[in-house]
Amino acid sequence: MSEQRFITSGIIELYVAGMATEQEARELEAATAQFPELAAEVEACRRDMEQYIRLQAVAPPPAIKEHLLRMVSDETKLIE
Amino acid sequence: MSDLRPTLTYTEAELVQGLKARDEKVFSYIYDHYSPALYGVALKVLNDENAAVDVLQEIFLKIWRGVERYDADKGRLFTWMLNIARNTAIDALRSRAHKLGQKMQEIGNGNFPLEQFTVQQSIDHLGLSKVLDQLNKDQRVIIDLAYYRGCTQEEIAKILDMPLGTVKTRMRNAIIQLRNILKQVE
Repeated sequence: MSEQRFITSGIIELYVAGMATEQEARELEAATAQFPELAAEVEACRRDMEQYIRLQAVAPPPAIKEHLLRMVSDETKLIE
Repeated sequence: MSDLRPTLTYTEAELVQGLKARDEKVFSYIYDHYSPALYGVALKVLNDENAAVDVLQEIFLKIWRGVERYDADKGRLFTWMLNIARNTAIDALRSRAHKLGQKMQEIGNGNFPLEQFTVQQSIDHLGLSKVLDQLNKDQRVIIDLAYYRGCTQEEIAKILDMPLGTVKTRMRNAIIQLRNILKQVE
């Protein structure tokens, strides 16, 4: 598939939404490695999808952070 | 999150380096800056605060333990973290659905509870409502089934009772519409 056909086929949109089939994803990834402009197009679409996700950000309950930091700290001590 | 937070004091490379060096200050910084976005994903997927809190902790442990697998050539750090968040949350949803024998039943009787995509009180509530106001319900549902439920094209066709080709076209149009709206909101 040519670069332009990828752009008009809708695969990029399916891909960033996590809905491309494995084969579609493989084809697109192979093509982006070859065509920088296509890679930029995928990245632009991905950034917009991420913006949508980010708009749905919710602050987690405050106690979680301390708990996580303790787990991480204990783990580091164990390794050292 | 550079476009939202111009005061970022670490570059992405420094954050990755810090994680690899087991720097807890960097971990804390990453948590402060990215946990709302990642928690938002977990909440949307699971629609259950307790489950989302458990999944959020799992996500951050995976980020902490798995940073060696992060490859900057393949994408930005935020994209990598979002993928971890989405996959971890969807796995948790599936294992719960599997236990309840729920998913197939919901799809089978065509009674998928689409209404469960409730909008949580987001941090950027105004920005979000501006987007949602302009995205019609069908467009929102199709994006959310794909992204937050991890449904395949076939599953979505079944759930929404429409041909596969229509699912693809609608998905594409929904994302194009979303991108146009985001350009106005920014």
